[in-house]
Amino acid sequence: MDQYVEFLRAKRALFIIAIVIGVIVAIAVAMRLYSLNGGTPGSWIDRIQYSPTAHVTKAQLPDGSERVVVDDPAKRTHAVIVRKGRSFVMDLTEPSGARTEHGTVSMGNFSVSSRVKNGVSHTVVSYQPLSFPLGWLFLFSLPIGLLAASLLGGPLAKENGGHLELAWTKPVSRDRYALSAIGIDSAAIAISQLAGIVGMLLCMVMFTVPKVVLTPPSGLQILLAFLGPFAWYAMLTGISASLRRVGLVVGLSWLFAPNILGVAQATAHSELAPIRLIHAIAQGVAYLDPIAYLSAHTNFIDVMPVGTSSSGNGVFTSLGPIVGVLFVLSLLYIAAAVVQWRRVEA
Amino acid sequence: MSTISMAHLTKTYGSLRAVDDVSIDVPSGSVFGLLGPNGAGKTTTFKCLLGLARPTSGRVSFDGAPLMAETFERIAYVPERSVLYEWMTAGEHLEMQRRSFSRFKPLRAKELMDLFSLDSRKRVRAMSKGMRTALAVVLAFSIEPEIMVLDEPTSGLDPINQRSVLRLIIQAAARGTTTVLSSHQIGQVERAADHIAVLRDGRVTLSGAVDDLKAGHKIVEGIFESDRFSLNGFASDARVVRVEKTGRILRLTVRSDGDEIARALSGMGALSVRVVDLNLEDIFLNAVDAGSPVDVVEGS
Repeated sequence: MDQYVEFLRAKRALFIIAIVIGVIVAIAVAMRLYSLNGGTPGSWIDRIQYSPTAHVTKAQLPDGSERVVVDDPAKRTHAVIVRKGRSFVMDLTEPSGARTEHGTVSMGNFSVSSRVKNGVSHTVVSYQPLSFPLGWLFLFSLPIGLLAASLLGGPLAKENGGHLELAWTKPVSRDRYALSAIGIDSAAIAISQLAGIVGMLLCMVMFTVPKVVLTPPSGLQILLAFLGPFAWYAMLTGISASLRRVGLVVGLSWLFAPNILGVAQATAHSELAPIRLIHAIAQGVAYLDPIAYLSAHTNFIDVMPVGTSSSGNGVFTSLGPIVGVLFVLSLLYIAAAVVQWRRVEA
Repeated sequence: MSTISMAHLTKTYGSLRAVDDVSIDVPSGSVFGLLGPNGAGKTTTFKCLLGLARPTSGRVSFDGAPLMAETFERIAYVPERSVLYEWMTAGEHLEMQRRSFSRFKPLRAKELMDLFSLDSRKRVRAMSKGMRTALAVVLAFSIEPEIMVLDEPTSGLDPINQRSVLRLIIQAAARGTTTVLSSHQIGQVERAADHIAVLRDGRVTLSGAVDDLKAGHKIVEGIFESDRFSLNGFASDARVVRVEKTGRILRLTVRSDGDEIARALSGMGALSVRVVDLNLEDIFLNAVDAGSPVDVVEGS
């Protein structure tokens, strides 16, 4: 491998990503441990069902579900639990204090409805397994991918910053050098995203085992999840390939790229000439900004399940064209980087 | 046959001609010293030679062929300044070299690391200037190249390590390695190099085999009865590099025919005449000091 230096850079970036994911998982563990104190509906059912004084009757219903009736005279509780697969509904009646209250709480895939009246508490707990589209999983890895892309972006500028005498006196062409560096970084960005997905799944299974489902736009969503950070990486690399420092490029890109769309929208309806000029510039830049394509007029996550998204520049309204544009943008930025790399002098 | 050939190499940066019509042939297996004061264009010449900078005009060839990516399998380069990766260890630099060059010799690398007392676990950012230079030298010599381009390879090194580098250069030359060497340590160049070129303001002002230059360059010194003697046309003599007149003493630095010029001084009435050999440093200084083709200096 003639790109050992980039390999080491990628390793360092992945180490940082691992720390970030580790911190997130640690927070999830802490939250899980905290939630154990309050008990879960599952443990609640077990406590009622396996009480030594409980009388349990089980019956199979025609739709395949199981009904469990628990009567516990000692505790004056009565519960009817209907289970089907991993979902269940529990209707629990038990003594309560003198207070009177009622309410419903929904938390993810759990719903708890309770009513207390005349010293009797009536609680209905329902649980539906979390159904999670595969495409979402990948799209949620976008932030991790963008972080990795920002850490690794501009590998050619990093060489320009005082190492060209080493980089260019290896028996390898400049094109191959540049493309192999970009290839290694791309692989590292993808690995970081996969690690992010694993981390997210770890966080989820601590609370519930999600049911991952394949929905029609999953393929496009997965493509978008990988193309988004890659396009961002390509943009940073393309912009900085002739420069000697990449940090400033990354910083300024993060300052402008997420906001350029907002500027374009905020200045869209002004009649003032200077504002219209700003709008024209912002709108033009938004076409070249991968973040603008990942942004949406509405909440990005909200539009994902139906497989559509509106791009930052308002032209593309479905995932397919956005994926296509990001792909073309990535190629253009990489080509620009390689052309500059050929012309740079030590 | 010349391993390295530079023909009419010119490199300009705006209005500055950093390298101006430089033509140098480096014979195969020789050690070629490229000398010159700071800013003379040595490093730019090296960069043009290795394709790190694009020549404005002129041509570079290695064994008659233009420089290609594959040529670098045979070339080692020690740049003037440290270009090592600050965040990497010495060992990682060696690993980089191992993966890049099929000629890399791990045992040789280890010997060289021991020679310069370098710790492979140490990061470059924790190294002194001398250690960085030493590591660059280790990287270059560990691939046992056919061609070496060494730009100030002893910069920052202590005298012991300077001597080690010089010995490595001479040993490599003995094995047939062609070396182009730049150094401000003229004594080292004199010991190692068999050919030199002197650059000033981007132009070659002197070049040739070291032995020939030393054989030709002399100081012819004549002492006259009084300070009223004529220069007798020496100022315009093509063989004379420098004319110094100090009272009754006339000192001529000549590039050839020292004995003949000594006889001419005797013929002019000099009471005594002597011919003094020059070392490379004197030759270099004369080459770079000369403000005009013949420099006449008068003193009291």
